[in-house]
Amino acid sequence: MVNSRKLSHSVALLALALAAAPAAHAFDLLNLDVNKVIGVGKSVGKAVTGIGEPEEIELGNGIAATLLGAAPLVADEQVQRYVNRVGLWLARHTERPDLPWRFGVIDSPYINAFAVPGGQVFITRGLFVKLKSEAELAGALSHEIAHIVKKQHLAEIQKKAGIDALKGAADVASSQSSDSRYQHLGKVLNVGTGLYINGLSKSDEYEADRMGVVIAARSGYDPFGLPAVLQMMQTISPSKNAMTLLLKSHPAPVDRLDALDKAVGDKLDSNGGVEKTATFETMRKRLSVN
Amino acid sequence: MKIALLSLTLLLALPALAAQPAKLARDADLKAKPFNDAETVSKLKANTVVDVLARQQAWVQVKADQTGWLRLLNLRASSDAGAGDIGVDKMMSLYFTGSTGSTATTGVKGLSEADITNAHPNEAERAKLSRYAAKPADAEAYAKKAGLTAKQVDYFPN
Repeated sequence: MVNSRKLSHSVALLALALAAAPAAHAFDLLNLDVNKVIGVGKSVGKAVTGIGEPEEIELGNGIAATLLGAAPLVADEQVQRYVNRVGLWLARHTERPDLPWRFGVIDSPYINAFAVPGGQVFITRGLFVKLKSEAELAGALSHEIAHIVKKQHLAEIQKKAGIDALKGAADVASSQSSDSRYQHLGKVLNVGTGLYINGLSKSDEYEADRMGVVIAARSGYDPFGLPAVLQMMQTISPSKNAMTLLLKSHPAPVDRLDALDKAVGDKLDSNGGVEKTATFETMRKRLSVN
Repeated sequence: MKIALLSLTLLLALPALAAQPAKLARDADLKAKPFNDAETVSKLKANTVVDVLARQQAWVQVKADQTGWLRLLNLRASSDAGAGDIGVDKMMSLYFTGSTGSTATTGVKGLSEADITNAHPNEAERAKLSRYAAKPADAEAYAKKAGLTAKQVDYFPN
């Protein structure tokens, strides 16, 4: 769970300022006021004004549908259910535990993972089979979860598409199940998917790495899974097509490792935690080509 | 006699795992055991290339001039670029030559820049996500089975 001192302080302020608000979720009640009131914005995410949770989820669904339009989910229910159990367990140890978290393994050989606003996280088959343990999977997923907890994609989208960009986005009949249901998102959807090409800022990525090792540690995993994944990425020739987009949209693995080394030092030395599970090995084998 | 003994010694010294090379990012003490207060076996300089034998949390067992432990966070890929390439090529060719009989042609099941830029929403595919989603109780049950114990850890400052 989150730092209890900060939590009780925040809850007290929240109670004062929003007496009549229905307490549906931990922090995401009324976006604007919550971010200002809590003020320790670092834990909750950037002040993303004008984008409430329903709008965020609608945009996220549009982005997720687009990514899955490029490459579908792996048609293996066992693997998908597994990644959802691990992923949700991790997400429950963040400041946004009640988002409708969804996780998916995308059927693609490219090495990459994606964080989508609203709580959707994807990892490619290409990346999954390169992982050596559940702690490494937890590390990769935790990094993506951190992006969503900090609302970094939302902040970028708002910067690029304007403050009122998602006004009315959620006022669409949810019964619409066709591919065209996201047309109303217009340019914002393009801006959103464009972030997976050009990436977030380096400092956002370094922050997601720093948060990622902590989310994994909070969830009982060996927190060194994520750095191990970064080292694996560094051993792959940068010229490989499978790596091109990952390297375009993220700082180089060596720089990420340098930043993590500086931030973490020896602070997680005695953390302990689970590294390997038999279930991970089973799922990795199901996805492997050899 | 000497040659036979030397060969035997080398054979016995071979680690069970295939050793991966790695490089030190900074000067570091090679430790006898995987913790900070352990005895220092030798002092290694930045850019020393070592063979990685095993990992244990924050520490990695390596063979440098001697066998010992270094911090994972102090290690980077060695200059042998491409040590991690093999499985990557295999996986890519699986999709882009259709050797498993999949209907893959160039661009299908692709997540290149062009593929994402040109993609159109697939709502039916997205709707499958809810089918696989876990409930908090599922996650908790899995964690219990896997021996995952939650704990309080603060985020690192910037």
